[in-house]
Amino acid sequence: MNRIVVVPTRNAGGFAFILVVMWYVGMGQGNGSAYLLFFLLLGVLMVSVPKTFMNLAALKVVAESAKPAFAGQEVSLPLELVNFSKRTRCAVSVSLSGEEKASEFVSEIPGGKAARTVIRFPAGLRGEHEISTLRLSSVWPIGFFEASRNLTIRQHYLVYPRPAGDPGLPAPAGSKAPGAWNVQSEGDDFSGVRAYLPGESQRHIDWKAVARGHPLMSKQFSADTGGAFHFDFNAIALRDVEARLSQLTLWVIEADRTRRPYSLRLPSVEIAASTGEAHYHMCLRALACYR
Amino acid sequence: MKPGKQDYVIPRRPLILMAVSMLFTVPPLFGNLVWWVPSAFLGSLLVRFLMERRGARLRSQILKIALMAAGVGGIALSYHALIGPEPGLSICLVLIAVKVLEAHTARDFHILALLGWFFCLATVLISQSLASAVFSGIAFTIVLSAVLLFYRRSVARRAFLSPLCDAAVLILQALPLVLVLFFLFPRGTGGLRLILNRSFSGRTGMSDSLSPGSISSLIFSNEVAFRVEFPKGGMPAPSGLYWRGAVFARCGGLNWSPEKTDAIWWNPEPLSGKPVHQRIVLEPHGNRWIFALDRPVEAPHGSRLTHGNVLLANQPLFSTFQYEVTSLPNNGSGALPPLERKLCLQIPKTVSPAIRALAQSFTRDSVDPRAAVAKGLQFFQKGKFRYSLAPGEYGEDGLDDFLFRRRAGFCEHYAAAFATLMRAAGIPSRVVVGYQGGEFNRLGKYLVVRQSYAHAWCEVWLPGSGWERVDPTSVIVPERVNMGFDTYLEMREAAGAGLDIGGLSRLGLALRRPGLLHDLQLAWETLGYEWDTQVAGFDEEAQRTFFFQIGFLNSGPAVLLGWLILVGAAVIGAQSLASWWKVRPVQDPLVLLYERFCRRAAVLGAKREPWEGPLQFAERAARLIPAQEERIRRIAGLYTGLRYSATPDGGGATGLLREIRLFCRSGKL
Repeated sequence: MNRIVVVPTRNAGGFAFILVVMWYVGMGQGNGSAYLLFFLLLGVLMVSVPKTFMNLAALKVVAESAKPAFAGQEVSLPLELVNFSKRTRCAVSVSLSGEEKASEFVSEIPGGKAARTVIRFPAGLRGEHEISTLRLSSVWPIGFFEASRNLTIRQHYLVYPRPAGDPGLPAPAGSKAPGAWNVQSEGDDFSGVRAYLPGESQRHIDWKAVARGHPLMSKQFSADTGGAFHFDFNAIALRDVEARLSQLTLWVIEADRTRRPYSLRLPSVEIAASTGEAHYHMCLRALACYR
Repeated sequence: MKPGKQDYVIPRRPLILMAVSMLFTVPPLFGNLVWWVPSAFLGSLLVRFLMERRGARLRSQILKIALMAAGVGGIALSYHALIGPEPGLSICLVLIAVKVLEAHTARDFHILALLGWFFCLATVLISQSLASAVFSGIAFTIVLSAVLLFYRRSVARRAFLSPLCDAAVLILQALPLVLVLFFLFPRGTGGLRLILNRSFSGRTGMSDSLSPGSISSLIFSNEVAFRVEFPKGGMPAPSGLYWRGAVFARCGGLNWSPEKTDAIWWNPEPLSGKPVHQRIVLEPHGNRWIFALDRPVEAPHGSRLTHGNVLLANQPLFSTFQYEVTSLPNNGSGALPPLERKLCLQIPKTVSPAIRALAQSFTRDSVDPRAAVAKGLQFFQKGKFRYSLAPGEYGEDGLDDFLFRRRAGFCEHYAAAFATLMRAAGIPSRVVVGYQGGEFNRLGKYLVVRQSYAHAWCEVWLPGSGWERVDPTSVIVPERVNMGFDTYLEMREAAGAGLDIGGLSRLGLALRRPGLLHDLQLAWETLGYEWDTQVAGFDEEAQRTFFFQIGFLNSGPAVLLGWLILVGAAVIGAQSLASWWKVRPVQDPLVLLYERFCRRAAVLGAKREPWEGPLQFAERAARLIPAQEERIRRIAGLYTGLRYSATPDGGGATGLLREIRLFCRSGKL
């Protein structure tokens, strides 16, 4: 799995042709200079083989976790290519060979350092996916041979359902339970600041205060009114499961935008009404993994 | 990314490098192709850069086809042919020009790179001189650097220097293999010969007949005709340096041409004297002439000795030809075969009575042919004849015009006129063309004979002594023969009596004066000579000799190929090992030491998880291996201190080493 394979590229035919022409002219015309040119090109090609091979040796790829994406959007997989040797590596491309056809090019990895790159590919079907192999390849230095190497990485990523359907939110539940969510810190109206707690949305940090030299403070908002939205899978008058999931996804996004609490009920899962990023992603995850 | 059909703009810098390489290889084509073809090519490079600035390229298929058709049509009009080396190369150039305009994919760039190398080949095809080889080598390096830059896509600093350095390094690394290939690659031609026609790879040189102007056209060419070494010494005095090239026995007044050699049976003319051994490197001239000191006795390999004791190569020479030849300076006595005698007395019927009368006047007083020759020379000496490079055109009755009216001419006029007069006087004669003189290269200890030393002289048959050389030019201007044309001109200029050279190229002559420039030229030519003889001239013969000298008696192609594969594989193997050593993982010894600790801990039952920090792991390991609790904590403390703290305390690296050693040992109990 970790072997480096060197094979000639499609360019090899052209190289072979020019070599034969040089040799033919050298021989047919008794032209010593043409012979030298032939030897020079042949020598460079031969020397390039171990160079191409070694360009991928002692390289390690560390895949970081990919952020979830909606179906039809783009998934970004951040990668770190670590060079353990003192030699600078040039022109390495990283590609995903599975259902995600994508590649990224790294032009230089200095010796003893690492290069970062992000592979982007369109998100396919909703659900949890796994990237198992990653392919490193390089035609450096002259494009005559290509060295390639498959690396095993185990990296999962989530694809949320494609948001679609009616953007109008269903009427919130009639029964109002003020005490239940007055404590919620998210709403439209600014209600003051308090010390920032790790995990809170960065959008609410009072950056202006930070710029003035104050410690991190979190802006508090309170939602003024209205009850929680209840999104129920079974209550949607659509026959297609995917269409229902898309509709629910759209509502979750819209509800999150209003910063009002919402709950989600799927046949298998039930998520209580709440707000915030963690809740938002929990709902979307449930939708993505619905079977 | 694989080199494939990706539609993206080829980066600017590789393209610039590619264009620069072609500036080295395309201009030499100007001398060999119709002027507009290389011009159009360079123009297309320029247009491409103007387009590049706007991100444009040639997209329209119709326009591409129209451009190609126009180019090919133009070539057909210029050459009246489409097949042959020049039209072929011209068509290549036109197609490449269109390719340059439309190139945009990685594949296109690859094709451009191959074309760049193809131009390097064309450069050495046109001329095999050292200068061409150097130009070709520079272009090769630049193309290589363009390829490197292209595949690397971006270089942070030193935009052009860095890829050029990379290319130079790559070539240096390839050098051992190139050397192995140079010595071991079988050079046999296998009977294959690639003949390009004369105008393509031939250059200025002797023409195959003698007519007014055929030699004076060479006199301003500074090109080297051939170089001579005298391995056994015995270089003749300057006045004896007559290099025999061709003999013309068919008389036509001022125009002489070679006799059909097959028409007569010929046996070598007897010669005598002290043999002079020469090693000659002849520049390709596209003809079959081979030169040797007057007169060669034996034909070197690849040639034969033919009528008039001249050497003729078996094939026209399109590449540098190296040979050894022995000449004998004096005549031997012998008889002239009747058939040949008859041939060498023929004169055209158009020769006027006045000339016949003049010729007969030479023999009136004495029947001795020697006296007649002397009288003939006297006629030139006293007849107020002028030595001139620009005597003007001689028409129908050119010989009369030359002998009786204008009396101005160059060596070919004198040789032709004298030989005709001798025939009219009943003395068998013929015209010899070749070179006269030579410039001694102090550095390389060899003689350079340039095109400007081209000369024509006569030979007359004298009973008892055979064919005797008579140089009528030496009677008109004795200095010319004794010191060579350059020196002669300089002397005349110094005396305020400039030669009538028709206002041509005085500057060119001025540049040839001795001085620093001359010394540099000398050094360069010595280098060129070494190149020709040692490198470019390393052919099948030289290869066999080389291996014979170092003790390999059998150096057939199969044996060489076997050795080539063996030695080549060894060289590549050694280089691979070297590069493998260079890319070996280099890790912090501290990390390696810690990993040793972790391995041992895993054996003892505490496997470190990838996400665990050293202290976190130490806590867990201490719980799992209670016997080593103290030591584990100490190791973690030392390690984190050394690794992360600016001022590590405790035993330092040696302390850590001792602790870890103890840890590894103690567990074994």
